[in-house]
Amino acid sequence: MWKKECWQGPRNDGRCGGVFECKPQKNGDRYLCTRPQNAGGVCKQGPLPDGNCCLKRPACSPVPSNRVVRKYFTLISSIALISIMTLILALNFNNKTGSIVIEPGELTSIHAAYTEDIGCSSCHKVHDSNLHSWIKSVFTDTDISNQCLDCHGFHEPQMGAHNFEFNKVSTQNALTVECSDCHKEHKGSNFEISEMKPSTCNNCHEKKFNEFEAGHPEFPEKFPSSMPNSINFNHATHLEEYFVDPKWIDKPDRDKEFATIAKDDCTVCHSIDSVKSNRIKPKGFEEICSSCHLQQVRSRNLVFFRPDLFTAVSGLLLNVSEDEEDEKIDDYIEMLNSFTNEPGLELSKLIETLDINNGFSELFLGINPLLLKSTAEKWVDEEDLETELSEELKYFGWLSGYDEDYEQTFRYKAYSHNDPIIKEWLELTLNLSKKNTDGKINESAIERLRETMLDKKTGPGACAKCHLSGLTDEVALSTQLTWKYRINKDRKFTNYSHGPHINLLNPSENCIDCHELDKSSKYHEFFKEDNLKINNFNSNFLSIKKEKCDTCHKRGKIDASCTQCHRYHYEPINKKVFNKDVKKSNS
Amino acid sequence: MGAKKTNIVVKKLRDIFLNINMLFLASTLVLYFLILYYAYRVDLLLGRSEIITGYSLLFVILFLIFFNVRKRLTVLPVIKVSHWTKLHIVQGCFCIILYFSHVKTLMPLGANEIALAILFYLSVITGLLGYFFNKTIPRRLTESNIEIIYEKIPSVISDVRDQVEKIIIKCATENNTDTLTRHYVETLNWFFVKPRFLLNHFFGGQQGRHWVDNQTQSIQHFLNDSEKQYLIEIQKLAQYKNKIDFHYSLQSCSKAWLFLHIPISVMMLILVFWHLLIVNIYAI
Repeated sequence: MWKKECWQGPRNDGRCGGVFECKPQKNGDRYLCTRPQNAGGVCKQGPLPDGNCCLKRPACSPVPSNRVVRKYFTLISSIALISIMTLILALNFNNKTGSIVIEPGELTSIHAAYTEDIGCSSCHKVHDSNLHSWIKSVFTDTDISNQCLDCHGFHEPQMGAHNFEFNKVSTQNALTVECSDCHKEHKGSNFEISEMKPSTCNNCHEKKFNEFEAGHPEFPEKFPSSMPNSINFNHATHLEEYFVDPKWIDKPDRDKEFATIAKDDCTVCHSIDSVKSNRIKPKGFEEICSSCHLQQVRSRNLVFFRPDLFTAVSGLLLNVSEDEEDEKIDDYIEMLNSFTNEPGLELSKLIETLDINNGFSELFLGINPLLLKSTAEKWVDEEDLETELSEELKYFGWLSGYDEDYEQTFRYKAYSHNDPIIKEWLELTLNLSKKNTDGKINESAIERLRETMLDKKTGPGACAKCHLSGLTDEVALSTQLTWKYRINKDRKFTNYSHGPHINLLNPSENCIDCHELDKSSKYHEFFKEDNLKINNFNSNFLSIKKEKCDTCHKRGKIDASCTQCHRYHYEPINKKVFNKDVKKSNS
Repeated sequence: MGAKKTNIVVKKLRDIFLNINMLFLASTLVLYFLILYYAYRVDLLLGRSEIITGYSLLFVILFLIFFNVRKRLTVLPVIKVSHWTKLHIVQGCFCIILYFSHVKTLMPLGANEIALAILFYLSVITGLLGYFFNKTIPRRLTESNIEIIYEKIPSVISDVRDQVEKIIIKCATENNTDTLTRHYVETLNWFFVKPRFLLNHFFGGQQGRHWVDNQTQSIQHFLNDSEKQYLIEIQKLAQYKNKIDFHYSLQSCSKAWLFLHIPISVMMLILVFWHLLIVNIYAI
């Protein structure tokens, strides 16, 4: 390479340009040297007699120029890349998992687990298709959201903003959102797929802000207790009076020790062992209420019959209004007479006549027909019944004879909280109040029964004393009866979790940092009415202010993004189960 | 006087702001701002900004690749190649912004995407390296005080070697001694055969010059006056050869980066089209 190059240079195909200095030309009968001047000009010897050049040199192997080497290098590397990709695609392609030259990254662990059986085509339908569909899909839109709905379900409209029909936005104008607009997949197994930026929320929301402390609106006036819970429990009176005042705690049927602890420690009544979302459920009646209130449950009877008077229950059974009672007293006596023969059968007939047996099969659960028969016999003969029952039986269950007020009654007395018979009668009462009976049952009789059952001071089992809200407020009437702790469905898109807050604060002392007691609240006013209106409810806690949160949730401290407290989807459900055993048993 | 000064200032400002470099820079900035702002708006509207940034990136990459084609199509009157070079450099630097707004991470996941990202980074790095060489090497070559065409270097080295050998023969003939001849055969010949001390020349070292000086000084004591004159001539030719070596080293570097930049860019383009195809089949 490091020698002087010949003047001809290599040929176009890269071979040696020749071994002679020139190619002599014939001029008549002589050959002439044709070496150019820049290569040294005509040589002294001149061409040989046979016409060949006299200067012969050995042939060389021309070295390609940089440009040529680069061209081949580029070509070879490109062919190598295409070959490797083709090879990987051929060897590695799997109908289920695709190939590494296709996969854009790992799925999130949960999606990877759900799609492992079907593979790529769980979401990408085209994956299982033929070449024609592949080519077609290059030029057509891919719809992945529909595949998402195979496993995920939402409230209708499923593709609408927040899966909810807002009053202010008509369905036609509602924004349609694709799942992949917010949820990006193939970003690794630990990728937070549900994370959303404030700017995304700002796009639709009128009040736009990027930081909680800077622009988030103040919390509503009655936050977070805008609606009553299913149980009427006045925190103010309990903490300020019943747990403190000797007038109450020194009463013989009260647990003074419990009251002393409970007044300072919320966790005595509220369970924090299994804190989930925003629910801090109170513990059960037996654990926290019974020490003071069990006696009230036991002391209130459900009176079925009297010797010569209608009761609310007997009025209903005979379908007689309060005004007609005097006129229909003969019917009542006749009913008592019928009880002297087959009391069980007669009761069944009465229930069937009213058509109230459907769904209420335990109205007379465990009744002793002999007791009813003997009672009826005595009362028909205008005598009083004297029962000779054991001490325990005398006070609970189906009883007859003189009650606590020294009245002759046939009655039912609850032994404990959650008594099935009293509960059934209460539910029947509320059901009849709600349902249109088309005049089959006298409205007045229903109303009288309702008044009796829902009387907070004398109602049977003292149920109405605490459960009135869960049974009679607007929510209960529009949806279903709620005996137990009721989730506040009004906060559809709020996702507050007590868990981490409780871990940071001392739960037995610092609950009141946020839940400050409102001593002037008119909490009890709400429960005075018969048909409770949610708007009239006042919590006995002060509304929580935004400042409580932004002491910690702000820039440089704890995350204050929208999804920290709010959820986007309304009523999301998972249609499929992950556990293989469950899947097998289902199939 | 005042008006004259003002005119000079205006002229200088005009030179600064109305030259072709500024025009390219400003137009690129405006173009990128529009693309990124549009992508941001699309993001806000819950759209897929990746489509905007992805296709923009594709067009920029195609534009950058087309530079290589333009250099070959000398007959086409499509902007001067020097302007193309400037545009190539400006677009090549700014497409990094577009790349990150598209990928949104330093290293994506998935074998294909990782390979694509690595090739993109290598392409950018080799491009910047080339830009650095093209900015620094010509200045260093000028400082050597000789000019030489890269392709002619083997021939020039051969000429120098021939000259040295002629001097050696002449010296031996005239003085009837073989001291200088043996010294050439045993030591100096190695130096004249091909370019030497290439790495040292690239980093600006003087190893070649010192080597020549050492070799000539070491033999000087054994030569007579006549031979010393010939040695001086050989030394001058050796220093000239040293400068040729310097040129060869630097000019090789200013061409060698393309051995990486072009194949990497072409391989990246292949993966870009594969990525485009897969994305259109599976995701869009």
